[in-house]
Amino acid sequence: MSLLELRDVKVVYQRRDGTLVPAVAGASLDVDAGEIVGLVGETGCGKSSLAKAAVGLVPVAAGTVTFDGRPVHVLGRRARRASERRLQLVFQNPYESINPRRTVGAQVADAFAISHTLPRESWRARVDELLRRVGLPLNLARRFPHQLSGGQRQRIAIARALAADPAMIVLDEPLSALDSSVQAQVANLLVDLARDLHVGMLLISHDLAIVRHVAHRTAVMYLGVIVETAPTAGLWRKPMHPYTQALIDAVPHADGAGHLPVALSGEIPDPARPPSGCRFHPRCPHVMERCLSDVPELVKHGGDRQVACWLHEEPVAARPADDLRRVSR
Amino acid sequence: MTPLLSVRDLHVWLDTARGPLSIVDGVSFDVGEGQVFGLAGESGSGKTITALALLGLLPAGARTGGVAIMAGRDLLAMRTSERRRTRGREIAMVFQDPTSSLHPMLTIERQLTEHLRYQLGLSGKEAHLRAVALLTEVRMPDPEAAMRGYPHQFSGGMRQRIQIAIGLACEPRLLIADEPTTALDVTVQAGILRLLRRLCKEKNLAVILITHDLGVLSALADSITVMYAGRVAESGPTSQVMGHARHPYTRGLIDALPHPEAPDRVLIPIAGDPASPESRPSGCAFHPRCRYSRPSCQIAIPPLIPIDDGREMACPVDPFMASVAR
Amino acid sequence: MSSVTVLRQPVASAWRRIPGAWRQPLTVVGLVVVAAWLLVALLAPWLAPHDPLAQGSNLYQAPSATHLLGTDELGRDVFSRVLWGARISIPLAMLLVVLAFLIGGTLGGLAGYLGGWVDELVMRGADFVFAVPTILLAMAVVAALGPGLFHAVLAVVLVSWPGHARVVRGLVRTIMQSEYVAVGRLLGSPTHRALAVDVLPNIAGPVSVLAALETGNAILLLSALSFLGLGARPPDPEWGSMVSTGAQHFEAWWIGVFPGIAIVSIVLAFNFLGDSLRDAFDPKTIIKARGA
Repeated sequence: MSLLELRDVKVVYQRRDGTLVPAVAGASLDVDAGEIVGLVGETGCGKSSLAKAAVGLVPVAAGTVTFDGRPVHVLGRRARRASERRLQLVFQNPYESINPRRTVGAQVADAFAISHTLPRESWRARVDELLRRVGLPLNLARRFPHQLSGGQRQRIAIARALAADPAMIVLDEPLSALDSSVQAQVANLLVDLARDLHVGMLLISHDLAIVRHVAHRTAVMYLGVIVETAPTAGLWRKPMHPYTQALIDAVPHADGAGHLPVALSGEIPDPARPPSGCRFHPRCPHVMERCLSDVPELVKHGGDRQVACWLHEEPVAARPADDLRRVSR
Repeated sequence: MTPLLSVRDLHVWLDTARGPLSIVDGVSFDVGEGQVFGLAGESGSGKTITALALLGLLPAGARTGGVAIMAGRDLLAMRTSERRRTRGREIAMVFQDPTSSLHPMLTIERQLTEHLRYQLGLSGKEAHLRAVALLTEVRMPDPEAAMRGYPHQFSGGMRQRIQIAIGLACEPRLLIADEPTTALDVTVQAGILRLLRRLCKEKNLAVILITHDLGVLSALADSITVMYAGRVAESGPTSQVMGHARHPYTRGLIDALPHPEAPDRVLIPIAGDPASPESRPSGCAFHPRCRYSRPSCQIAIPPLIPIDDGREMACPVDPFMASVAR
Repeated sequence: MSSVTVLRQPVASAWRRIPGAWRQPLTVVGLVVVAAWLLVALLAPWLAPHDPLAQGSNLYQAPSATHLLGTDELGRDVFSRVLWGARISIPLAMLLVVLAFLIGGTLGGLAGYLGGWVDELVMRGADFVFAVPTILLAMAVVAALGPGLFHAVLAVVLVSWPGHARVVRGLVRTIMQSEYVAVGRLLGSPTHRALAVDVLPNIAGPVSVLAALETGNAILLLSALSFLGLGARPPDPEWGSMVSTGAQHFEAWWIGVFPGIAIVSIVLAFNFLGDSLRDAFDPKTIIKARGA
């Protein structure tokens, strides 16, 4: 059993005009202690909704979220259960996830100030320890957020989460607001923390390239469903789902060779009206007839890989062979 | 061949409560016809201010120095009316966020044709036909239907295409694109990059591409200038700068990037944060973050020196010289 | 010439240390005028050359050395009455803004925090007050209670709480939905702690802006009620009622004009102050002032 388990999670929003939007339409994911799992996909694929559902910031419409074997409750007006406080979230934008009018030291100390897990006289020492852990100078504790750089702020946001002694941190695009030279600092910090503190991490990102350097496993999400999960190295070497392939092909290479990345045709559809059958079929270069009508399930391929694509279904004897014939577009 | 745009010793100062603040400090570059010129840099490098200076769109309280010659005229010395005409007809611009440059309450047709009628004096019918042709040009699916739409009905990628179509309306010779794909997904970004490349080739359009994303520049730019804290760190042909970076900052940026071709390589970050104009370090502004810094780097501002085949670099230490010698 | 430069330098550097938003000329004017009127209100008994209520034999006397601003229809010294007027209008306006804030802020805070029917009830009540022209509603209230300064104050409180309620409700709602509150809640912070630690410090700024602007409004409204004979009653030296008296004696213009100037100056000053407070609290202005 994994530390964080998402099972067939659905998250539904209501638009202002009343239409229900299934942002997450049945996604399952496991994250173990000390493991970094990347969750990648385009804007609007539901990855942020899944992150919020994982920590109880938004309710799940169906399915279950369990942390350490116990269900995660939706955050209400009451204080969060102590058992759930070891599951933390770091937001994308450190300019919004830190209170501008409190010193960063006070905010790092929040976790133990709230749960009374530490006598007051040891707060200072613990804050210093956390700042050191995320690679910040100790004199920063008395500063206000606007006196810090973007990278420093994101480190503060991570230190805040670490103060709760988490077993699992969900990170929602923690790198994308940072300058490129600073991105690598924070990415390496995450790898160190997962290894040294044995913290599990669910790293949500639109940037496949950085996820590759950080995550042990990667899950690819498209329009509310997970289409492929695999160990990161294998996923890059041999992507099986056409969407994974498209994401990899679209990454520009900073090598000066001047080759243009490959564009994926079309746009991500409205999640309120997803395409029939395989949700990716209108944009898929390998679309077949059955993709239009049958929903592919996430099935195991080899040890640690799961793919939801009819291209990789084991040949079924009962089906006529021409079903697999390509449909030209 | 004389370049289309020639910028020499561009300076920009911003007036602040504490006196003038130097944002851009002596930047020079050339942009040739049909070429993509890449301006790279992190936040605070002055790359966006450079673009705004060329467009005459600097905030109040900003002063410029140097020259920017395009077709025999200095863009920095133009009067407001002349500048407005130049901006519409010879230089087009595309920004990161199309939502702020498209009018939310007007149809795409209105925004496209208004521009055509005002700048080129076309009749309503002519303008309509031209607008459809422009939307086709930027590969807008179903241009006639798109004409009747409002900006909010389009995705980020499509809005960016519309913005480019508006920019192209008067057949400009130069397009200044500031982080045109930063807000887009990689899959959509690839499409916009291909569009820009095609426009350069087919229309002989020159493009100044400003971005922090070296991958994007690497894919599209013919030549690159890397800026740090308002000054040029390194410039030259893309293949040279990206493939054999000489300046420690350029090298650092490339090493910090995840590389799709080199699996399991550790990311080597640059320590510290980008310098801001308010607190620009003395001497070489990069010295506090530089692994190769010497005491002299803290004192003297390193001059930009030519190294080889059209490259220039501002680092007297030149720690990567050996690695380039072939 | 050089001595001038030397003298000016420390002044200039002290000036530069003040945050940018506070160095605008209008801010300085606002601050100086408000401070001056507060001093006048405090020291009126000592500053005023005459008893503001003492009637003299010199009626309708034009401004002169003995009566700086002239005398009114009962021979009272207008200058002394204007000074004493500050003692009525300014403290009352401040008291009333505090009351309106206590009522409006509490209701708005509850509405923003609890949401649901509480929010509906409070905000519809506020809408109702907003829908009726302020002065009419205030007049109706005083008419129902009977004229008098105390009733006028009550009336103004009654018409001005919704402004505070709206602002506080909006702020509480936005901040409670902010990411930093979400982070705190995930760390185990109960909502009341989020209110104390995250919400209160972040609404202090906007609320002080509103308080400054509302003080100006309150002075204006109180004076208007007195002008209409619904507020202060003769012989109290209240500015509004003095203007009202002046209006009946056109030929002696000084009776009405000088209290009028007093009202205009203090109301303007509070507005300048409110605007500059707003600039000071607006993060964008702070960035601009820093020159980034």
